Amino acid sequence: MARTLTSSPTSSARRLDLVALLGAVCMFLSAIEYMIPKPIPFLRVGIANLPILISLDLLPVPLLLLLVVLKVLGQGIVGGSLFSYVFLFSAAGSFSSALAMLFVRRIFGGRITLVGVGVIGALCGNAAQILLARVLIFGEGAWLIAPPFLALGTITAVLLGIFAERFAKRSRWLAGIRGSL
Amino acid sequence: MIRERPLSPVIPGVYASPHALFICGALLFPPFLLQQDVVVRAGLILGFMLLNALSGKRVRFFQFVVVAVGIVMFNLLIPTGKVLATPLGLPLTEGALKSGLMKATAMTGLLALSQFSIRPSLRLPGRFGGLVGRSLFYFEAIMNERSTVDRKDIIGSIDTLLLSVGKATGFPSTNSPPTGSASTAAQGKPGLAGPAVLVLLVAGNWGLFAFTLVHPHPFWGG
Amino acid sequence: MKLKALDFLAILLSLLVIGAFSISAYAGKDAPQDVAIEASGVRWIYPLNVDRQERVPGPLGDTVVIIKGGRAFVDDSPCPDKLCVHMPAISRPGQWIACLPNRVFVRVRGGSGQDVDELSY
Repeated sequence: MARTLTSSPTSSARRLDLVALLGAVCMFLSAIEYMIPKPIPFLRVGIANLPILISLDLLPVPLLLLLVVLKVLGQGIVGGSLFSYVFLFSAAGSFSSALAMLFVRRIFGGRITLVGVGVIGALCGNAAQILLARVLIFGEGAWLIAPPFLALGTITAVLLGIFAERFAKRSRWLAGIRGSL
Repeated sequence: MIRERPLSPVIPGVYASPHALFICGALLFPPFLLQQDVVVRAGLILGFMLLNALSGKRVRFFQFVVVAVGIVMFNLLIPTGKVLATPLGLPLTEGALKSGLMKATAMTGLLALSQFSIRPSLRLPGRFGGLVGRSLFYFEAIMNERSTVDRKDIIGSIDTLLLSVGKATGFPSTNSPPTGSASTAAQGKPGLAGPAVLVLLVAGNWGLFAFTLVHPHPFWGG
Repeated sequence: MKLKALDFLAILLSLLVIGAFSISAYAGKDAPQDVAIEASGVRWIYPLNVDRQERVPGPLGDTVVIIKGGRAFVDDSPCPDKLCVHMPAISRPGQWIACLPNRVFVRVRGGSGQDVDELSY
């Protein structure tokens, strides 16, 4: 995938705008996830991570992290949870997940698909959230829910990874973006 | 250039800017979190939820209860302190209950407070704030077209939606973001009523907190 | 789409981590142990891994139970012989210390919280 990196001001402004749009997609996906009725409010499917998965190959590291910031902030503002623990969980999970995914992608490149990347990302993100839960709300009881929480996260990560790979291949929008970057 | 910010409802008929609400929330934060009495906390939480309901937001009371009960249950799993009851072989202890209640009230209270003070039309200052604003603008544009998403062709329909939103918003754009949309916030007359109510809220809360510093546990009698 | 070898490795790693968490949280002997103290018809339970000192009321006065370094022992008691004070510290499920004159009973419970029987005087 050839990418010409121009450093003209318009192209970096356009990339910033792309980050803004991707952040909006994250918010949209978390609005969808919010509407899925869940028996236990703590279970997360994590579809809001899809734009991040797809952007791993698209954006340079600083912009990808900026995207994560937008995702977390955006969820906090739209969902009104900026002042609460929910925001902390979201931030901890999203950042550890994104850093892990970046790490894995940069090391293994094309030898791993978004499924594996997503699984590692989910593992790290969810582990961070469990740690936070141990400290903030659950106490020692947090370890009891760790295994099913992580297991569910792994399963959803596999499904999300498959979806992300398919989207990345078939999306005309994405092709257009890659071309104009 | 003065940007017109849409005002958000506080209580019926009273409006305040999202900025003022944000500051109000930030100021209400400490007296709540520092409050050690569970009953007072519970009362404050009900108050926040009432404020949310008054300002027109849907309060998912049931979800709050589920979360709170869940947190308390998790804490009860690790017994600490005087045993109060032993249903089905699991000892429920006073220490674990207190700890669970404190954590549950922290979680739900902060969430309720946050929902009251953070409005979607909030705009952060500076260049970064501009970026966040633009992102929120795109978000609203996407939400406008969300009905075009087809479950039978998710990838295709999302793709189409993105292309369409791109066209509608002029993406990618290097212009500064447009002002927050007026469609999502009620238009209210800027006035003193809103800020006055918020000031009252902050003063009342801090007053209550000061009172409980002198009389801790006003309802539990020590 | 084709999954690559590294994907399966990632999934395997995930399963291993889940397994490790499961063992440490659910396995009986590794689960956190606690101490049950019974006196005057009341029961208290405290985890062994947190140091603390408790005064337990009995008909003769307060017996002082200390938890320190993962073990529990009686530090002082208003009984005449102070046998309970000389008993060695307990840390394994089933071990116990008793101050019969003051009706205080201290016992280490088995890991996941199942008590074998209730003790009453």
